[in-house]
Amino acid sequence: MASVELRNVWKIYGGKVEAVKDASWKCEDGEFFSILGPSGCGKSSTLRMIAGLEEITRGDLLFDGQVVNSLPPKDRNVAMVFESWALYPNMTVYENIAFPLRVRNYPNDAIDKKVREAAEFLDLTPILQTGVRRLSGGEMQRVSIGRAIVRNPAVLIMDEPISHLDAGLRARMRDELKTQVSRLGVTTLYITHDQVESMAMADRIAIMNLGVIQQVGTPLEIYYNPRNEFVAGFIGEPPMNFTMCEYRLDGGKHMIESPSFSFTLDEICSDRFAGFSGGKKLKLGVRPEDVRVSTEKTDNSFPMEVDFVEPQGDRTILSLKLKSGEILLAQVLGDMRPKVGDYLFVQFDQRHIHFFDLESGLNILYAE
Amino acid sequence: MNSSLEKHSPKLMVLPVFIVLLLISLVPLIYVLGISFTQSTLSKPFNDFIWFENYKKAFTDEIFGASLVNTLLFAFIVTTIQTFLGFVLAFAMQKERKLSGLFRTLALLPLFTPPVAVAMIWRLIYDPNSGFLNYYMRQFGIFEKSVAFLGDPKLAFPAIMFADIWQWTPFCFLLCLAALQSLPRDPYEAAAVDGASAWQVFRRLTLPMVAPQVLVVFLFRFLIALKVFDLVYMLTFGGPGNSTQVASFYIYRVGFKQFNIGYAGALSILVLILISVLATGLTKGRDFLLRKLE
Repeated sequence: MASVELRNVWKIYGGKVEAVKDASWKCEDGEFFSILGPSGCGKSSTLRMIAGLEEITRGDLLFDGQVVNSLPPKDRNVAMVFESWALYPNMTVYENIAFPLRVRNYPNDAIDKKVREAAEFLDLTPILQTGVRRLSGGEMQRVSIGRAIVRNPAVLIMDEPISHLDAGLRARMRDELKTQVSRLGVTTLYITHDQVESMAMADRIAIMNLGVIQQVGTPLEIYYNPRNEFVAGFIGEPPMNFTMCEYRLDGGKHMIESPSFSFTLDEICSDRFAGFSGGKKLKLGVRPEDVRVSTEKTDNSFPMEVDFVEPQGDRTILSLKLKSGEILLAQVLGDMRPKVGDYLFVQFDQRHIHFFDLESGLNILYAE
Repeated sequence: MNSSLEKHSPKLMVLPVFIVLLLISLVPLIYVLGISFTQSTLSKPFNDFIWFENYKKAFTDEIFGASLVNTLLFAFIVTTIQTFLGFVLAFAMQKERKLSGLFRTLALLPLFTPPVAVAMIWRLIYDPNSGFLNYYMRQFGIFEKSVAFLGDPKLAFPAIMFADIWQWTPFCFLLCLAALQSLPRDPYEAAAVDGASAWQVFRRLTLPMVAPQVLVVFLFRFLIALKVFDLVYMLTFGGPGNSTQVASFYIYRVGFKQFNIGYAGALSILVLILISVLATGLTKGRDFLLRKLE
C-alpha cells in the first residue's frame, strides 16, 4: 500500500505537445481515486507516468513521500489493468496470472497457491488452463485484474478497464470491481471517461481537461460544488443548462435578469453575492433536475413555452424555449406530460444554481 | 436455364485458370512420369518402355545418393544459419525505426540481384589468382599462399553455402522483421509493469509469440534451398569430383549433358516425392510445435 502524490507534473511530448500541465494532487493510502475526463485530456499520460511507462518531463511523482521519478516500472510495485487488458496471448489464464510471480522467481508451490487464491477470488478456477485467446471480454478483464492483484501491489492502476464491455456487463463489472478492490484495500487509480463509473466507484475524483486538472473532490462535492464551467457541464446527465444573464442590485434586492426570465435571489444566494456590484454579466448554470416546473404562477417564477417532451418512464425531460433561441432542459416527474406549445411556470432551485465568470469560466459561488 | 447457369458459373469462371494450371503443371508432370518409365534420349523420347529399370538404377546410383545427402545438408545448414542470422538482425533492428528503413532497403539489394550475377561476383571473390578474398588474406598474413576455395573438396561446399547465406539472409531478415514488428505492443508494457527483465520478456513473450512466423520463414526458406542450382552451376559445376553435387544439378547433368532424359525423369520424380514427404513432415512438425507452445 502506498499514497501517490503528483507535484507540478508536466508531460510534454516532442518538446511541443503538452499532454499534462502542472498536475498536482494526492491520492491517500488505500483510496479509490478516479481520474475522469474526455478522451485526449491527458489522463492516460498521467497514469503511464505513474506506472513508469512514460517519462515525467517536469515535476515530481511521490510514492509514500519518496520521489520515484527515475525508478523503472518493475521497481515501483505498481500493477496495471490495461484498457486492452494486454494479456500475454501465448499463455494460459494460469500462466498469465502467474507471470508477475514467475519473473520474481517465486518458488512454484507459492506461485500455485497465490494463483489459485486469485482465481478463486475472481471466479476463474474453471478456466485456469484455457488459452487466453479463447476467452470472452469479461473473462479477459478478470484475468487482467488477477494478474494485477496476485503480487499485492502498492498501487493498482486501471485504465478504462471496462469501457470495452457491453452495457449490461459493464454495469455488473462496475459493482464487482468496486467490491473486489475494496476487499483488497489497495490504493487504486481508476482512469475513465465515463462519469457514471467515476461517480459510482470512486472515493475522490480528479477531473481533467486539455491536460489540466480542473477539480479534485468527492463525487458529491464535484456534483454540487463544481469549480468551473467545464466540471459543471461534464458531470451530470442530462447535462447542466447554461445561459447568459445579468446580476443587478435593485434597491437592496439581488436580481438575476435575462430576456427570458427575471427572479430575485433568496437570502442564501444573496449572501454569496455580497461584494459584487450590480450590472455584471454572468453565465447561469442550472441542472435539469433543479428546474422546477409548475402549471400555476408562483412567486419568483416566469413563464416558458414547451418545445419538446421526452417521456422516459420514471421521469420526463422537457425542452423549454428561451428567448435567445437556446433550450432549457427540465427534468420533471414521469407523470407530468405537458403538450408542446403549453406555457409553464418555471423556477430555479436556488440551492443548486451556479454562476460562472464569462472570462475565466470559474464558478463565482464555488466554496473552497 | 438461368438458374442452372448461375449454379455452374463459378465452375465456368474457374475453368480458364484450371486449364492453364493443367497445362503448365499437370501435363509436364505426367510427361515426366511417363518418360521416367522409358529409355529415352533428347532426340528419341519414349524410345523403349523399361518400366521401373530407371528407378532401380537410381537406388544404386551412388552419385545420386550423395547428391541427395548434399542437398539436404546444404538446405538444412544454410536455412538454419540464415533464419538465425535474419532473426538476430531483425531483433536488433526492430526498435530502430529510422535506421531499419535504410537497412531494409540495403537488405533488399542481394535479393534483387539476379542469382547468376551473385554467383559471378562470388566466383570473382573466391578466385585464387585475382580474387580479392585471397588478396586480402595474403595481405593481412592470414594465408601464406593462395587458397583455391572452389577447387578444394573440403572448402568448395562451405564456399557455396557462404554465398547462399549472403544472398538469402536478407530474405529471412525481412520476414522476421515483419513478424517482430507485427507483435502486439500492449503485452510488452504489461510485462514491464509486471517486473520482467529484458531476457524474461524475450524468453517468455517475444520468442513464443514470434515462433510460429519464424517457423514459417524456416519452412519457406528450406523448401527453396532444396532447389539450389544456380550457385552450384556457376561456382563449381558440382565439383571438384562430385563433392558439391546437389540433386537438381545432378538431374540437369544427367538430362542435358548425358542426354539420358528417361533416367533424369525418374530422378526428378524421386526428388519430388522426397520433397513432398519432407514438406508434409515439416508442416506437421510445425503444427505440433505450435500446439506445444500454446
